Amino acid sequence: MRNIFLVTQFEVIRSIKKLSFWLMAIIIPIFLIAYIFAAALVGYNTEESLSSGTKTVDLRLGIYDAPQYLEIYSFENERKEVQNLQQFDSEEQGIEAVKNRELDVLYVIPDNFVDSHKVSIYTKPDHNSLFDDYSHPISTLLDATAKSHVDQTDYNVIKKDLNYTPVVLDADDDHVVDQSERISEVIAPAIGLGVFYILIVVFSNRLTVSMVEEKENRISELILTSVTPRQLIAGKILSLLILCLIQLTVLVVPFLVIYFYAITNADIPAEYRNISLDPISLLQSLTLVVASYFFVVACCVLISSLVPTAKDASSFSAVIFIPVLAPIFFISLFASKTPILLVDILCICPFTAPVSLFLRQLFGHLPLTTYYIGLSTLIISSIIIIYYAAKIFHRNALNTSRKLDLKKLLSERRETWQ
Amino acid sequence: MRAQKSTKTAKTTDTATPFVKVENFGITFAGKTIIRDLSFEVQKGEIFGLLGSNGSGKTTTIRALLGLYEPDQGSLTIDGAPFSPNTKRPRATSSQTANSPQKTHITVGYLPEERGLYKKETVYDTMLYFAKLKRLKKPKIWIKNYLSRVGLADNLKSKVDQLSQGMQQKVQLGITIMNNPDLLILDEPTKGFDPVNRRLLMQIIHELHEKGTTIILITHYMDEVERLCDHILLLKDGIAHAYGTVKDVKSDFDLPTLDDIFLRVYGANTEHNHNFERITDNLDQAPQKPKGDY
Repeated sequence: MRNIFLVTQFEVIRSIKKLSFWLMAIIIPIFLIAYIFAAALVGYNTEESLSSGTKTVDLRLGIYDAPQYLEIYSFENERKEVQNLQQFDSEEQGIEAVKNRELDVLYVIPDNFVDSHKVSIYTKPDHNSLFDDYSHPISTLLDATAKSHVDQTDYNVIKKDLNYTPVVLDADDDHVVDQSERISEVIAPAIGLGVFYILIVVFSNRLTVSMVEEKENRISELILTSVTPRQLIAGKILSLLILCLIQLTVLVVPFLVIYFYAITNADIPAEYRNISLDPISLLQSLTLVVASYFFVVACCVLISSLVPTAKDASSFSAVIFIPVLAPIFFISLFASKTPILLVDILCICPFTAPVSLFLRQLFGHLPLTTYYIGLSTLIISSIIIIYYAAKIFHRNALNTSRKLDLKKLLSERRETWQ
Repeated sequence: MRAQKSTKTAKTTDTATPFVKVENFGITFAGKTIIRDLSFEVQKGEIFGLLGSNGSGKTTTIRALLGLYEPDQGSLTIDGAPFSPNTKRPRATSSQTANSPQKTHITVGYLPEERGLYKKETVYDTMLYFAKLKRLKKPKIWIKNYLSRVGLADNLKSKVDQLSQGMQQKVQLGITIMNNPDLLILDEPTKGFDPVNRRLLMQIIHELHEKGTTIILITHYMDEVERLCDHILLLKDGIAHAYGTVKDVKSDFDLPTLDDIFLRVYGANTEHNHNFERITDNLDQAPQKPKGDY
């Protein structure tokens, strides 16, 4: 136990001393936060420009309103200044003004606007590109006019500015599930799936490299006279677990900060405000993350035991991802409540079980029996793989050059079994 | 040759219990027999020379002794039991050293032929890690003293890959001897050392021997063997060709030096000699025009 602790301590300290570890640990949440922030900003800006005509501030705008449809010809920008549209008595006058660069944009509302619903927008080429959209100002004014023509309820219906309160009936129809309750059920498997994905993507390669390091640096003989292969492997797996927890902390803390900030300061729907985690769902997700993680780790250890270099290990460990992530391609099958044989098979096959079980839990169709069978399969497979991986690691610890030859390996195994 | 082979299973000291005992050891890799029915003993406190050409099976024997390879036949024991880093047992004798008065393990220091370290770690961190694994008391003081002795005091915080090959070897040697091992196995320890460092290494070996450490020395330098070793074993193709005290082996072969014995055992048929002959033959010939485009 002492040696396992020492190996773990050494591996953790040398990793957290490296700048690359912190860069990776910080870049992932920063990247995620930046992505969410950018998406929110785009949405905010679009909304802003539609409502107050921010883009009109620097533009000279004109209009020819043939049917005199518009009731308002000015709008406020974000600096509370009033921007007026220059009105023209004929379409030709307005076009002439654009041609002479007295105007940047001309909107023409034709006589048949009520039937055609078409508005022409004239600009010079240097004021018109694929990326510019000059429809916002006129859209804002048309919207304001329409609002003044109809009553508020009709307007809300037309604008689809309505509040929906989703209520989901349970499968047996005698229990009504509140939306926030449904979110509470979904959040644990969703987080579990996300965490599992991050762990295998970020850390599986780290583990394979760490496992092969002794072989590659030719330290195996030196270290294996001080620790047993099992202690070395256990120490490395534990160190990886600690590094994962550090990574998760770095990942989760900003999200929690943003979430609590949002629920206290932002106007977010009530169903997202009162999320309480379902303890059973949380426990299932937690056990699945741990079991799935150890299964992938076991596979990585096995691969690292078989190959002589980190480069080879990385190539082979990528192969594991294919079956592990394969269930995502059958996501529609997991959404169905009808029992499907393929889904059951995917849930008990150790390679596909992690993602399959998370998906079934996510869609609320994970029977307890399937959960127990899947979990047991993962645990038993991990133990068996780790056991043999440790043996192979010991046997191959001094193999610093030989490439993995599956044919030869299998024939050697056969000789051993006979 | 018959006379030399007859000595190969002889006990070096009949009354003493051997510290290292190899009995009928055999190992095969991918259908090829590397070691065949090898038996020898190393007594406590002696320096034992394990000799042989490249590929003769010396390193394989040591790896099997340390549990890194599993033997196909026979047994290899250190102080009466197969070696494992975890095996706890009371020491056989009361001859405990001053630095490790409470040892419950048989400690082994092994300097392998294939040498490597954690390249991106500092000298200090690497040595400290091994010191903790080897349960060294007051490791920081020991490391600093050792590095000062071998002239690496200024490299304490240097990364291993910034050191020369010779400096890295000194670090490895430090890791090997830091726990004042009961059994020290040195696989070609002076390879790559200049005469000054070679002398320093010999001094360290001598000191450890004085403290009662049993040493197995694998080397190609026969002068070192003659000077240091009490008993020797000469391997060729996994078979013992000479075994006994240096004096006895010389007497058996009726040759004055171990160099002569080595050449006799390996004869003129070694690959090295063939290659050497080919090279010297070519020297007599006129130089040939190089082929290909340049």
